[in-house]
Amino acid sequence: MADARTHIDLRDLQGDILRAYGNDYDHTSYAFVRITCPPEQARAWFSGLLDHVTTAQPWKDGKPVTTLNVAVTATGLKALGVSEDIVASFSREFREGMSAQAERLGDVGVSAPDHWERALGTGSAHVLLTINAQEAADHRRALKLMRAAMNDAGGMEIVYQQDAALLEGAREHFGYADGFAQPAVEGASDDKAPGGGVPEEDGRWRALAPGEFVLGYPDEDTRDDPKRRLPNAPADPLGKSGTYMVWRKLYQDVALWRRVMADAAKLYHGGDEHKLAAKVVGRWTDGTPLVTHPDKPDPDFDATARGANDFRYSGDVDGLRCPLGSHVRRSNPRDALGFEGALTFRHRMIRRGMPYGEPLPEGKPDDRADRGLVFVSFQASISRQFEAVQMQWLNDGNIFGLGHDKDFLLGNPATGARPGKMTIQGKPPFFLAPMEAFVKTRGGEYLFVPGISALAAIADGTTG
Amino acid sequence: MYFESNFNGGWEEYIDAFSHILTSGMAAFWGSSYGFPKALPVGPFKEYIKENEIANSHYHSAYPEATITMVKASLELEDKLAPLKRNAKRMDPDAFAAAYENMLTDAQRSL
Amino acid sequence: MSSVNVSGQAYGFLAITPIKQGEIEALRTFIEGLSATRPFDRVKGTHMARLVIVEDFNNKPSYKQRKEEHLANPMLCFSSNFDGDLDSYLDRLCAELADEAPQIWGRCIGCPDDAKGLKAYLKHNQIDCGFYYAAYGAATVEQVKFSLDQRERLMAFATRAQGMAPAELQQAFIEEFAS
Repeated sequence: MADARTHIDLRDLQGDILRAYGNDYDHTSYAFVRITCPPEQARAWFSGLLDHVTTAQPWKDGKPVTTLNVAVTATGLKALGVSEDIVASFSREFREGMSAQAERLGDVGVSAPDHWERALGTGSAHVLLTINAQEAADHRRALKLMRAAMNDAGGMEIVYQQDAALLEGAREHFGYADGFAQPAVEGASDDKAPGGGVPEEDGRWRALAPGEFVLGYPDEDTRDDPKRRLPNAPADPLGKSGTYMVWRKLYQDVALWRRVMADAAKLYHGGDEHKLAAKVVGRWTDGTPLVTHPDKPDPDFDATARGANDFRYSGDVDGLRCPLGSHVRRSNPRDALGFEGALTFRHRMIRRGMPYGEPLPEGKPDDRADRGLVFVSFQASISRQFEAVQMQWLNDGNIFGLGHDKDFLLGNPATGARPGKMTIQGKPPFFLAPMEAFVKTRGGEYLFVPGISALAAIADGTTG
Repeated sequence: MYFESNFNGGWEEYIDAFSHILTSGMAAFWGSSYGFPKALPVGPFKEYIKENEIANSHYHSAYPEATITMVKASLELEDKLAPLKRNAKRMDPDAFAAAYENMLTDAQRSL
Repeated sequence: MSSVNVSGQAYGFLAITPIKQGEIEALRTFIEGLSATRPFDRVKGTHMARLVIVEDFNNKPSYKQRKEEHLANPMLCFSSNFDGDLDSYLDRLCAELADEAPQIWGRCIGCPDDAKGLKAYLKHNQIDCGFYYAAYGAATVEQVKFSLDQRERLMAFATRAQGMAPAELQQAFIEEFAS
């Protein structure tokens, strides 16, 4: 029998992981810094950041106008002088980097690292500074301060910066409400348990163990371990209160998406493009789940309300309401894989991404502008949580009985003789094709988000 | 004990699934082997597997792209398609179209 | 040897043979090269086959064995899942892999150098299944491959046939599946 709820040390944890900063922060910048000076000099600069890093502690005096968080890549740890031995205690995929996993992740063809934006995936990105701001003026000021501190320190440069901003209605560029469905974490977001936790019998849900998302705490595997072993983590002091971060810049071809869906809808239910698109996504644009509302969205749906995500798939085993291969069903199958959720509950991610780029107004042709989603996730294990979902649930369909069908929303550049398709279950079924590269990977990194004392240890050069 | 398995999907998720779903079955298989740390928690069991894993020298499949699920779906599909293939030429177009639609509806879990 | 190895018309075969001293690396290199030539494609009825070299027991100290145990020789494990009866399969295997066999089982202790001898050797070293289950034991390799291909063709057909009028649909179906 597990102990009473694990207490999470919020002072030692960076913010925006267990609890989102929220949609008041309209503006975000991701600045990837490359260190060219010796580690000692870099650590002096790094020390200067620490007073400004936003922790997970609840805000007592209202929301700060800006927030700052820090993450490091494997090459970044080395550039900051962390020893090879300590770096070796980090996970294999983190050390190898995201671009080394390109085949496995489906970053091939137009999404291959060869085509990525400057510096991303090359090892030259060392430290990621994430700045969130409520107002544009504060955002600009924070960026100025960041650059000034770097100039003062010398020996480092921003090799890549991506700015992002919320779109109206908290939508992403294909028009869908996004980001509100998150895992429920015991001791941090128990209120999200209905729908966000592990589905149990009798319709109940339970929150997930914190160790699924923060290192140094019991996870779903070890929470009942009589020997009280903790999950694998980097060597102390770096492991405690840290987490791994996945950062991906995903270009969205909005004009292509709209065109393909409009064309395909001509043969579907008398041209109901909204319904066809909802079938691909698994929700209507306002977030109403398709499995509970298969014919039209719920006018009273409130994505932020408690229990908004309280739905299951076991009443729809044939996918007649929500297709078996729809995006949200793939990315979080809930109870759809049987065995009381045993095949799904260890593959959850906390997502904190932001859209980037200007929206493309309805009806306008492709303007070739850069727009899409900065995908950000936090998880204790990149391979078990991010990579497994990407490889097994999004880039393949076998576990859902869909052979090698991939997620249609993300799309895939048709390679070889087999153009992709999606089966929309129904009477009769509808076959949606062609699958196009609606989403292209423009770059990404695997990073580690150290806890507050770990950041201090890195800055002091006392990581062991 | 010599254990051999062919599976698709990742190694980690495969073991996780086994450990959570077949916990007592695993004890039955490995309980008599030295060093078996129990199927749960999964961390130590994964270490045990890694320590005892032997690299394949040669693995052959006559249909390497196909999973068991796909093979079974394909065989079931043949059963459902066979009557239509047999009768297609004999039917009038409207009857055929209806039968074809019924076949697709019936077979959609295989497609 | 007996029907415990049978499920439907499928057979599960395992033979474990000791490798000659000093030959293990040459054997490993040769076997690893087989993925390029896929020799088991030539042995009709082979669904899946595996060749694995087991060098020795692990003997890890933390396993707290009463005493260390060692294999007298490294072992070659050969498993195959195939259609039909054992004798016919082994006849085919020994004939089709005549070139490869000396470099595989020829490197194992006591293996004769003729096809008949190889067959007897493999049968002699067969280990019966305690339990053998084939998920689709009634289907031969040919049937599996035909069905897989047909599934691909039906998915492609179903997509392009959407919106076709009945007569056109019927004609296209007959062309694709019934001609």
